[in-house]
Amino acid sequence: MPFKRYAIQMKLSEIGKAGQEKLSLAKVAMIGVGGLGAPLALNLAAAGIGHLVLVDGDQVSLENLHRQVLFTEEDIGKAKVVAAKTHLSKRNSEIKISAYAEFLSFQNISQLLSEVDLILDCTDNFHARFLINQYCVEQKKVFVYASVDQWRGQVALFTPKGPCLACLFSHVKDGLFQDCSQSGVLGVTASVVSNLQGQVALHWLLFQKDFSALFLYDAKKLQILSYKIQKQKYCEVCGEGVKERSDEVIFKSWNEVSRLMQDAPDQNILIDLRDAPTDALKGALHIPMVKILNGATAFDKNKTYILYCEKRIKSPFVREVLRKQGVAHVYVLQERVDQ
Amino acid sequence: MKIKLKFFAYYETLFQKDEMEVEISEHTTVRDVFFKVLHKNPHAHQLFKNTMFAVNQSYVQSATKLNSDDELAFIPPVAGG
Repeated sequence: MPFKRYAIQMKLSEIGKAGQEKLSLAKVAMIGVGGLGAPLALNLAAAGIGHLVLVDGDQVSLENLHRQVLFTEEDIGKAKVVAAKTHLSKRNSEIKISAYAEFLSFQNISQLLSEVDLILDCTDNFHARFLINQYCVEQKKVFVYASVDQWRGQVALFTPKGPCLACLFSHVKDGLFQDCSQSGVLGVTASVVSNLQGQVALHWLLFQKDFSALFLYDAKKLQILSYKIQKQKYCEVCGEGVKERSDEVIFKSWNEVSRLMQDAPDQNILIDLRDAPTDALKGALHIPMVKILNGATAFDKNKTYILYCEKRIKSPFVREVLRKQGVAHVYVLQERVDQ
Repeated sequence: MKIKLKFFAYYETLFQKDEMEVEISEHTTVRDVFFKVLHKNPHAHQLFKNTMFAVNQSYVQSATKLNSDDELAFIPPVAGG
């Protein structure tokens, strides 16, 4: 009998054979195989997700074992994704598992995630979370965010119709709020949050169910609260840009930019971040975003830079990168330029 | 009028409690309340930009005006995984 091992979950009238077939055809990426990803991978493999793509550049350590229950003492020092693939394959040899022992970055994200149906954010830092969010908005992908720290966890599904993670939280810098390896967490708390994330993921794969909610788990009160979320008009990733929450001016109009470039062309530099523009942007230097992120371009901290890309998705991200490098005056060209 | 503040994660640790009542005047916004209760915090502006606000369990923008007996939640992101 096909799908015999899944017979009990197929007894659920909402799943049945058709639902199981959906799961067996799904290709799901898990970014991070740690406190959230390790327990979740066990359940998703057991549930019969047809193809799991595991991405994590970390190795197993002794202090992982209390919560990353997929691993054993023999795995210490091994790449997490390699150990995970070994264990998961023994539990379900009918599914395909791809393992990538690397951390997610701008350079590899497209290659790793372009063909997956669903992305699970099981990371432990905001940089990776916002990279996933940015990519999903740009490529119209769906992802499930989850995070856990001390006695609290959060889970939310983000789809192309919005909102996105940046609608709820602007680009958070790592260190502003601690992570669980610094402030502590119980293994069971991480497992509950990861399985809540798994539940949301399966609801999406099986029923395309979008909750439009941020779920908050409180392990002390044993409570799951649901907060309705909505797309922000001025979201800097999926909307029109920062207006409401920041007093900082980051946008400049084409008229302002033209004036700046006429007044002091050596001081004010317009950069076109598009990969391969078919039309040259008047007065701009063409530097694709990837070159800047690779560190291949030097920036003068005393000059003013104005960034342009077609959809204003890359520009705010690059602005943050340059600001972290100490370039104080970086702006985003506000309107689309059709010359 | 009175409203109830609900604190999650970072804010629960910061205030050492998960909720409290505050007295506000008419036309007070979410933003006003945030800076009223965090006026001594040197990172208040940074925290403000990275906090989700919800009134009566629904997301709101910080310019939203509050009504009597509203429940205003400060929800910060959680980092770990």
